[in-house]
Amino acid sequence: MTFGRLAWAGLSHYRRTHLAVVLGVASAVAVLAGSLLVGSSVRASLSGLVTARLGQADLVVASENPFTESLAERLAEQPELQGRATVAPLFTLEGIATHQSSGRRAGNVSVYGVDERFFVFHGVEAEAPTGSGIWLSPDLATELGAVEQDAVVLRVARPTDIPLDSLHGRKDDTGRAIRLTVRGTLSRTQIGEFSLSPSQGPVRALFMALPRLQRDLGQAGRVNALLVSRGGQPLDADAVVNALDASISADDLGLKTEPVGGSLLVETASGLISDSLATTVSAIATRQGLERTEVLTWLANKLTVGDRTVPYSLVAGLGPAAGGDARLAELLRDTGTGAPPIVLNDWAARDLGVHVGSDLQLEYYRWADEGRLVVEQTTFQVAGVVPIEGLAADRRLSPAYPGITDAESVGEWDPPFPIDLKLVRQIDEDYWDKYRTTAKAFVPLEIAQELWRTRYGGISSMRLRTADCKLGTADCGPQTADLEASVPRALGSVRAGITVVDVRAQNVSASVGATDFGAYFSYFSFFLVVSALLLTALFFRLGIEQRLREIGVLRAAGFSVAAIQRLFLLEGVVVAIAGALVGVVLAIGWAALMMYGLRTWWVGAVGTTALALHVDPVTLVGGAVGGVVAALVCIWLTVRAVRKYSPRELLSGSTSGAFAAARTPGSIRRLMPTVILVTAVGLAAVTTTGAVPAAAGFFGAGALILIGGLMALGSHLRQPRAGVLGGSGVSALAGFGWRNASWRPGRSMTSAGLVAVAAFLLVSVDAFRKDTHAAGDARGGTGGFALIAESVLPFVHDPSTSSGREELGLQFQSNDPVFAGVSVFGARLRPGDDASCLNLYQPKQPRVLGVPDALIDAGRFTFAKSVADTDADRENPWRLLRGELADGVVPAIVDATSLQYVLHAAVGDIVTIDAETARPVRLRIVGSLSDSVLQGEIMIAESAFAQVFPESAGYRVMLVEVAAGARADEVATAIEERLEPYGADAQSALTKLEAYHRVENTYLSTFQTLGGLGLVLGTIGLAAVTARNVLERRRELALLSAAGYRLRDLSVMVVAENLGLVAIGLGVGVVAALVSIAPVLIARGGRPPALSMVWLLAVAAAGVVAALVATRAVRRLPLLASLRSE
Amino acid sequence: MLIASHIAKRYDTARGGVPVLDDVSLQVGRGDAVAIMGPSGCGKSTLLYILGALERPSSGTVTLDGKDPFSLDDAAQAAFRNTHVGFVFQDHLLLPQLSALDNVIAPTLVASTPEPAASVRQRATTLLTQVGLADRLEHRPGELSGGERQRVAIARALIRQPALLLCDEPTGNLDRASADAVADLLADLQKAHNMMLVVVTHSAALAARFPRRYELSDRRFVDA
Repeated sequence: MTFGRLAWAGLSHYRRTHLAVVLGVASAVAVLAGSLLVGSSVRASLSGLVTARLGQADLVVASENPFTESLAERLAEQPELQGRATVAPLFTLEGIATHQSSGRRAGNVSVYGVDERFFVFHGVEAEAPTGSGIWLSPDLATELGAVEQDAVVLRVARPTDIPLDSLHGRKDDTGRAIRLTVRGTLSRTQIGEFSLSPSQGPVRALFMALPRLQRDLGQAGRVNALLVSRGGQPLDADAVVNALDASISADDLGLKTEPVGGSLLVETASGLISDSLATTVSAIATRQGLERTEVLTWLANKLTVGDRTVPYSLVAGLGPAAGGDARLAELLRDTGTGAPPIVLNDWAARDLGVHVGSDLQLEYYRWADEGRLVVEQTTFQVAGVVPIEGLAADRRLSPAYPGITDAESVGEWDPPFPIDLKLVRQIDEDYWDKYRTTAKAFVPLEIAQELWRTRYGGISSMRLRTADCKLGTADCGPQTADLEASVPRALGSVRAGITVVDVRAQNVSASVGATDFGAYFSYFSFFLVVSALLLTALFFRLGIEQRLREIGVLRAAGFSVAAIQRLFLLEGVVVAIAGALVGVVLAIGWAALMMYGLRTWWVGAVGTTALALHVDPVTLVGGAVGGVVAALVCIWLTVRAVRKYSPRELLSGSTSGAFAAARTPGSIRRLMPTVILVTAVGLAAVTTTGAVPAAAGFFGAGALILIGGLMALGSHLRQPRAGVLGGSGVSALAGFGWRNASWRPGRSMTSAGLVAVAAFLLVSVDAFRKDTHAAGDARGGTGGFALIAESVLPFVHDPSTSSGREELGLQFQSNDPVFAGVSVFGARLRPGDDASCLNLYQPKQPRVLGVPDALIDAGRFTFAKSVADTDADRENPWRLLRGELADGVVPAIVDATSLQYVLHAAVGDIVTIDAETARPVRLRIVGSLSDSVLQGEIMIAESAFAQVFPESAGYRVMLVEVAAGARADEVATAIEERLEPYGADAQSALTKLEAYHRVENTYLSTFQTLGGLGLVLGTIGLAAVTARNVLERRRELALLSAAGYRLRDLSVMVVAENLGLVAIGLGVGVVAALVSIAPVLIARGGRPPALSMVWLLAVAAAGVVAALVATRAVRRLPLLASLRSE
Repeated sequence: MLIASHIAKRYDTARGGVPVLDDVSLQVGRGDAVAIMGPSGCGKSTLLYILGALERPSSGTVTLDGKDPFSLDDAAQAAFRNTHVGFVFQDHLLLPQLSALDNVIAPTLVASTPEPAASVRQRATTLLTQVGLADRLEHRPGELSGGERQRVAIARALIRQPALLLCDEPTGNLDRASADAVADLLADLQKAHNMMLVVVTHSAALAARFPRRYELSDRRFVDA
């Protein structure tokens, strides 16, 4: 006989009671481990989804500006990749596809220009598209309703070397429409769902022939992405960057280097040299002791002196070295007094009749950041005249301007800005014939940069010279070649904007998700777990109470309290482990049920049916351990209670005997409930005056009512009864039955308390249910906007301005029946990952909106929180976006829901986006919007946007306000039709907000459903407790029976006790909850929360069932036999 | 020697204190057998529990072989009971999940000085043989008669060779024949082990067997 055997004997003998405990633990473990399994299943599903969609792609080399297709082969030959990694080139764009016969349209289409290398790379059996043939992903084919041989028109943005929103950018020709023919769909196994972005939504992929796409985009021999496969070998992004730097050429980087006139000319295809390139070339020049000259050339509309004008002249800004022309350098030295100097060539000087010291007006165009052409003018002072020779004759001081440089005459110029050909004279044509793009005037570089610098750069070319020899001649051959090679090498891929991303690691990391479903389902299942644990503790306690005399004799035999506790804990451990083993099996079933729920009833929360159960042993074990620990804590707390029983109580087998220690609450404890309830009423009253915020005040009052109500019940149960029994009939019996609730006040309080707390939470959580009906005004969730439109292709004209709308064909005339009263705010967009609750994946490169000053000043939406510390900023926290922060940090505003649940940050935090790219961006969150339709966007000021995302030209988002009574759907249709070339899609702001609300409300419904289940479980479990109570009181009931009580009378008493506890629990919980959500109830017109009421009715029904079970227990008692002592 | 001096006990209830014992004193030496009688509710069991350090007196002292168990902490008190006191209750209070032999052995599991299992088992077997249950060692309490259960309870009370054996109505639930058998057993064992024996009973027949008898009335001893 050992301690262990003693414990085992107890386990075996009292196995029925322990079985109930095992079931309780199994339930807790099943729900807890099952919930965690849900989390791991969601993660695994999301991870599986993204990795399947990546195919064999591990890393991606990508650039906004296309590079040579042959870079793929050069890269693959580098030592880091040779023999193991494979590389495949492709052209990837976003587009909009229209099914020609039906007119059905799909936006956000991922267009891939591929050839056979793509399919070989992924190891799939599929024929590469050729000619106009295309493959569609299954989702896209379904959305378009397209089948083989159908015609599809694809509209995509045309990559341009010259930035769209620069003076020379082609603003009216931003996209290309390509007519294609469907060959069929590519299945998932044929890489038909290829996607580089993590998303659980449908994949809209279109695969077309690479050569065809290159031709249509005017990008022959160029691509903008390379897929790299590791081939199972270690290969990180840094190694690929190194290999890339060793293999890139000037052509890949859009660089042009050419010996010109003894110098090396460095310029780019865009016509502007970026600051990073300028710095790189300057560093090379310094290192090699070269003389460098920066040049910024601009087209002047007019050069005017007095009443004489020369139209359309190129003016070159020269750096101090002036390309080695000492005289020009001297003449251009700005003395700093008076107007800045300008030097004319002799042709222009003659035509204008100038002399040194003359004032010259220079008029020019500039493309303003806000998307419009402006005419500006500056006065110069003629500092000198130079002959057209040497540098002054070098037409290469001007970059190649499409529409200008190649024109045969000025009259054939076709620039992307208006010119008045009537101003062009024959002598101007003669000049063009002879000198083409030779500059007519020269200014100091710093003056040129003051006037014409853009965010894309302030230099159009650079000249490098060496004193040793003339670059480009035979004498200088090696030096020229070295220099030409050194520029792209020194710039490198990263500074040139070519990014290398470990897309597999990034997407798998993103699949961890913004939402931890394991934690969420654990929270949702909180009541289920608590109910199961409470029942575990209750049944274990019942087991102990059943063995009180046994405990007493062990105490008498010298077992210390600690030894007895150890004995019962040992039994508890065995029971808990047995329960855990059963629970683990049930957990898989529970998780499968929850995953089914996510795919069906709760699909609104996840937006996909692609979630499947993944059984992860580690998660199961973790959940089981958690459940066991929780159960053991409950058991330990129960066992601990043994200490409080005196040996007499134990040996008598009763803990409520005549000599039980007094547990009557003292006077203070008796008064506490009253004090608390009065405080609750007072708090509610004060809140109505506005002295306390409504949400906090009423919730506090509700919580106090809950606590006070339960304390009042406890006090009532523990108070000695002053009155005596009296009366007759059902009411008297019910009163007598209710008194029995005082027999075991702990059990009674547990029952009623569980019901009350659960009811409180189930009802009050409904306050968080989002409602769109009040969202329509300027301070509401939609900001007063009826529509949100987004285009696939950017448009450079600001739709906020009337001129911009005119350019876009969106004239909102006052007598226009559709557009009268419509106003628009345009915003810039850096496309990226959706940071809203609709995206299950963690956004790595979230969408960023550049909001205009007009929207900032409008003060729309309501802020949840901001860092405003002035009255003006507090009145309109949007103003904080204009703040200047140190270290390049940009102020940003995010929706509060996105901020907390997706980005996991708070107002005041600094977050870094695009962290894994060459240009991470640091944002300081200066404010958060409350429940807005802009969830999913990070908003910064347009001015900051232009600096941080210069490559994202134009506008792509419009916030549209319509007049009261106007038909928003007609406005939406009109916008889509008129902006069809840009692939615009206009959506109701309310509909969009409802989609967000649907996600959040689905989470709430899930919580209420599972919480309700837990409440029902707890209530049903009370049936067993009540039956137990009846068994324990069988002698008293038998005595009443001997005294003439019928079975029916005894049943009434038992039912009254049980239902009384449930009813009081429900009543206290519901009243407390309704008070706590009073502001929300009032706002909703007094409508009670429907789903909560359904579950509370279920609880009440469960309480009736429990009472009936107890009644049955009474009926089955051998009452007369119970009158005997044993 | 068991010395109880001026023991008083009072229970606090919701309606005020209830005195149960008032200035009770008692001395019992080795080999003495004492019966305490009195009507139901007079405090006999309370006195027994105080003597056995199961309940603390409101006032007064108890020493057993010079040791005051109420000066010890809970764990030491339990160890004291385990070593020095054996209890027999009216309702045998055998553990239903254990055999007769295991029921007897149970108190040895918490001995402060563990003994070899074999010698414990031998001693338990001997005790059960002494009480006439040599052939019922592996039987569960449910398989024994009332008298047999009480004999197992007596053997259990003696397994630790206590100096003091306290019996609370040991024959209260037994028929006449069983009661006589148990009474004889108690007397024999008490002599054999030279214990101090205190029996609480309302049975005059049982009390008559004891050379010293006390009557508890009005919370005090009166001459029996």
